[in-house]
Amino acid sequence: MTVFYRPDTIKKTLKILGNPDQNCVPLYYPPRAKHISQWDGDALMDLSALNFDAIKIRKTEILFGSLVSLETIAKSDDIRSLWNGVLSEAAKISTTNAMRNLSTIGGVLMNPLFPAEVVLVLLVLDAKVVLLQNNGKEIRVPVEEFLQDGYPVLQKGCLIKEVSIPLNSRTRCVFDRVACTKSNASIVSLVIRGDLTQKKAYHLRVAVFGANSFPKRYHQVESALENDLITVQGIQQCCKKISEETAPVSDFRAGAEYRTAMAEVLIRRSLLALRKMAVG
Amino acid sequence: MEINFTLNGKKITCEAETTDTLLDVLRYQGCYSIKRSCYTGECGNCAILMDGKLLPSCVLPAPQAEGHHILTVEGLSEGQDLHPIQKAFVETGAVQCGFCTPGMILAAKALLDRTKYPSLDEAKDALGAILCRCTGYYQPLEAVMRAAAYLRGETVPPYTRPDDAVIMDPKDADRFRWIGKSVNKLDAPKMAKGKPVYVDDIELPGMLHGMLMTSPYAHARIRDIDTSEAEALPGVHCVLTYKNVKRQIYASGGQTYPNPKPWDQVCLDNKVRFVGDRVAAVAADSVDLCMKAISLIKVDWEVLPAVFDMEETMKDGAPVIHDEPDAYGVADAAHNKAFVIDAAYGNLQKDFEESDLVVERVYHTQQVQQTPLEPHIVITYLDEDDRLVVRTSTQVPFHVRRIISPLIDVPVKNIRVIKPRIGGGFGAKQEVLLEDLCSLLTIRTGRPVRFYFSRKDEFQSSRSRHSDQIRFKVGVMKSGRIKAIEMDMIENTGAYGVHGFTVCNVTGTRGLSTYRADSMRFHADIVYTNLPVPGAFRGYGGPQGIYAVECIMDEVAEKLKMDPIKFRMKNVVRPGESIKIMDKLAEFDPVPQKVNSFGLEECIEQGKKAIDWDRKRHKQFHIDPLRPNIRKGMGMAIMMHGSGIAGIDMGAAFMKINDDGSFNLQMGATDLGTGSDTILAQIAAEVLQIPVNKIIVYSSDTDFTPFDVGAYASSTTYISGMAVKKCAEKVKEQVLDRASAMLKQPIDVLILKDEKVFAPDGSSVTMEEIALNSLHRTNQQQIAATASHFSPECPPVFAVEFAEVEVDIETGQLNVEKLVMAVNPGTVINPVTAIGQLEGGQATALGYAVCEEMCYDGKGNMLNPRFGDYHILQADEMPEMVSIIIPQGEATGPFGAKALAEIPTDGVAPAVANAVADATGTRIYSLPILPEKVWKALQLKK
Repeated sequence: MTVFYRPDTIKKTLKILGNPDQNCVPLYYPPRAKHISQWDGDALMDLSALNFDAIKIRKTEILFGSLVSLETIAKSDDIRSLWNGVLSEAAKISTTNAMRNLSTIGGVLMNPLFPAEVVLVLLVLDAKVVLLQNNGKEIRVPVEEFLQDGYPVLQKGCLIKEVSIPLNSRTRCVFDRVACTKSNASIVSLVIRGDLTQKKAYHLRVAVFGANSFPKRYHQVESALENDLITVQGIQQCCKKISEETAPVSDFRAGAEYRTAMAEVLIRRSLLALRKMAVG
Repeated sequence: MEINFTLNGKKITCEAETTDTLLDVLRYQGCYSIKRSCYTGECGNCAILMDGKLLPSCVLPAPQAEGHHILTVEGLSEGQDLHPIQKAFVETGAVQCGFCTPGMILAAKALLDRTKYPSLDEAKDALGAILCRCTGYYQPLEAVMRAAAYLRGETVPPYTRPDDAVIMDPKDADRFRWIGKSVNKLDAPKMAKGKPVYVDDIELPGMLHGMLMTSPYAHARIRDIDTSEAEALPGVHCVLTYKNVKRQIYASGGQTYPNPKPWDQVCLDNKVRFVGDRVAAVAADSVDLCMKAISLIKVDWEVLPAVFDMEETMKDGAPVIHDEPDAYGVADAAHNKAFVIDAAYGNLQKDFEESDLVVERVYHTQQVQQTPLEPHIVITYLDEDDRLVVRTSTQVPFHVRRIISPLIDVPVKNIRVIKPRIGGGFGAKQEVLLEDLCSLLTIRTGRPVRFYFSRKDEFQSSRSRHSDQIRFKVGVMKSGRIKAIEMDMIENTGAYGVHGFTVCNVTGTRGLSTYRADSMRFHADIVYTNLPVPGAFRGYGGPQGIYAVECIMDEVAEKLKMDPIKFRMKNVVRPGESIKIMDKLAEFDPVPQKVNSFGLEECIEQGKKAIDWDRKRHKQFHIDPLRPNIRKGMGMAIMMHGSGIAGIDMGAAFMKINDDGSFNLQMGATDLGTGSDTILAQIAAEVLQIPVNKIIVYSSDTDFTPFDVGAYASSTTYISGMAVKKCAEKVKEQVLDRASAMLKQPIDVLILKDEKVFAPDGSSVTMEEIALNSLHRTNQQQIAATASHFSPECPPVFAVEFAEVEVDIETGQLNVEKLVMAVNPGTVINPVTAIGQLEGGQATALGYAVCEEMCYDGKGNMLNPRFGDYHILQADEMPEMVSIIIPQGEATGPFGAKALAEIPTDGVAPAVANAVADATGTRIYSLPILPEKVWKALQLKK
């Protein structure tokens, strides 16, 4: 790695990234820091001159610049007031405040496997990645599509510009996790979301980390409850589907059996908590 | 490339490579407050403020600084002045080894720039970015709040918390002028200012970089090694392998002469025995060149079967790890037994048969790492007389000198070992790990060499705490009287036996010395496996032994339906009693030991009060109606730990007077951040009745300070402290003698007080006048003395630990809510530093109890060799912690002091384990107490 770029326009940025003879890596810092030697590529690119570090709140969506730091997300009153604060909580739990100052939402998307709490929130909120293609055009890709089996798909020459999250005043979320200690990495973590009326939960989303090899939406669990009355029986029914979507990998933090059991415990608890929000 | 930025208010232009980290560039600029520690951004010891934001500089490419404003601790204050945050850190005892202090101060600054009135949670979050292994974070958090008050312009009263925590007999309160006073640590200001005080903080002309090539295999023979390509690389100056280094058998533990057996190491061998073992060492112009050279070394490996399990390794047919013919003192190499210990008294079989109840349990403890924030580092060079100077981060400078001498073929007289400030040791630095190779590289090249461990090396190739399997069997009568105790254990000493015997000996001692019994037996197999090597770790075997014994005693009490405290107190050894098993267990010849000062009853009384034991032990406390999945519980453990090693440890001191009546105190004792330099100065000041700041301390330099065994075994206050006291008393005699001549009064009527000697008639001479008279005027004489001390005793320190926990019975997740420790360390010399020791030790012990573990794959590769994965506790997750000191003087210690550095590491794990049992009705028999283990135990119970 011998070259370091700091382009001040998007045009220059895309030109450098599109250079077929060079693998230039944009510096999207992840919450799990990399040693400087671990950045793949033969050039590094500092994007800080592109003003990608703003949060824009619009009527129907909120846009996070790809360089918005996790600390900004954790501390922003606006973000804490949304979605029951789960995005802020997920950002806070991801790493220490020094690393939160450095790591960005773009870094999370480019390194989504661990820690994955912010990714879980993006998954359940139907977030979309706003990509700048090499021709300068923007496209929007759902986060679940952007992360194929947990790995980011970013074409050469493209850039993550923003992340868009749709706004809905009825959206409620629950975040829960199991860890050895309060600030330790999660063994299993989960975020669920529902757009609640008094009797219904629309757009139910369940995303779990630690119960598969990558952070994953539980579509079957979601569809078992979709648009349904949130009842204890319904929750019990959908919990039966959890094991079908769970395929954990044992590692030094915990075994597969425990992870499977915890996925079920956390989903059940969180659905009950969501139900409580709906029915009081 | 050229980069421009503002550093501490000054515009800087400098050259940097794309691959340079900002940390490296800032250190080149002289900012030594920024520490090399993890290079993964996780420890925060390299933190800077960039445009007011706290950032880890170790993962930032240097060019990223372009155009930014960077602040380091060097930019906070000038000259002797301290910034209010630095001042608060010094006053509260928040500076121990000081390595993390600059990062903490900047974290505090970032917070206090944002808010004048920080909440405790905000302070915890701010300091959560900075790992500290010394303090337990309480004193740094107090420093943040105190600094906030300073910055608001408030009048801040003296720091008092430790005074509240010391429950002193009122008649003792004014006995001393300097003993028992919270004097600021003498070295704290320079560390708070980020001054270059550590090994790495010097640049020498022509200095090379040294690096270790380590083994990728757990067990392999090196058929051949070809270094020709590496040596041919321009900029590479020396490559060491088994082919060009003398084969000299030794043991690397920094222990007293002769080192305990087995001696099973050589500098570089043609066999490797764990992943991370030494293969070769390289010296080159840069770190990158060292790495390149290592990649060019060709090794012809014969990979051998490896064994990792403690029981498998002893079986017939297991791979033999030490088959080399020159290994000395290995008990049974064919069965991988490094050492076997047997000790017993009484008729064990008969006593078990006569017992009303016999309980037998097996406990497992895990391997954990000391994780000093400053990794091992050595700089060696030849001085103007071609003598070898070894500047090293060590706890044992004199042992280093003696041990490396035959390895490098340089006589002791031609080696000078200097220990500057060190960034934490915790036992990891009671070892000769890099000094031999670094010295050889200097000798071969004639140039200074800097040799250090990366964080991954520190995890894999440094030292750790032994994992054990301990079987306890206890026979009791219905009355609660213990008849017999048997302790049978296997200790995993990894690939080498260093510290294996002595640590295991302490595990047995701590497991068997707290309680009386008619008969006892201890058996231990200390076995080799192909895992990284354990060694000394604060507590030195005590935490393993006390975890097992305190868990089984709790269970025995439960089965007897007795109160766990009453059961323990019925059986605990008492003042005047001898500790029988210690007649059989010793490093060399057994030294009979007796209990003198005790204080355990008072400790228990105060501890119970602080944790509200009597109320919260009731079953109604166990359930929270609002959280049906939560169970609460309370647990406790009692502990006993020694003060030095009886009949072995020796410390020495030298003092001389200066013209102004100040004194130089030179001693071999090694301050590894504990504050021992300060408390030893307090001891000297007390004897001589002068202010502590009139004592100029210089320690741990083998050329200029007298011998000391080093910092281990909780010996510094008790042993080195007595040496200083004796030395100061000799000086005092000379001072009085001189004063007697000056005042023309007999010595025995003179009184030394407030830097003066007074005669009964009211006449007096000042210390300065005495100094000037002795050095310049009459019968000139250097008032000076030297003294040494060793003790045939190691008076036990007693303490109690209480824990309050919450357990989620659906997930097994454990939350430790509160810890209370009460201890009688004898007279407390400095309450602030003493409390710091208690809190820091308990924090380490809590990590041992609930989360820390070195984990391996099936090939012996460590799976979690970085801080993000090997989690040590952060400021934002510490439980409420109460530390109580009940000083009761020990007749054999300096001014009645014993020790307290290690005992806080002993009781947390069993107290937490017993609290989990109280909460859930389920006992966990292995550490750490992970959610998965608790959940599984609860499933089994279902």
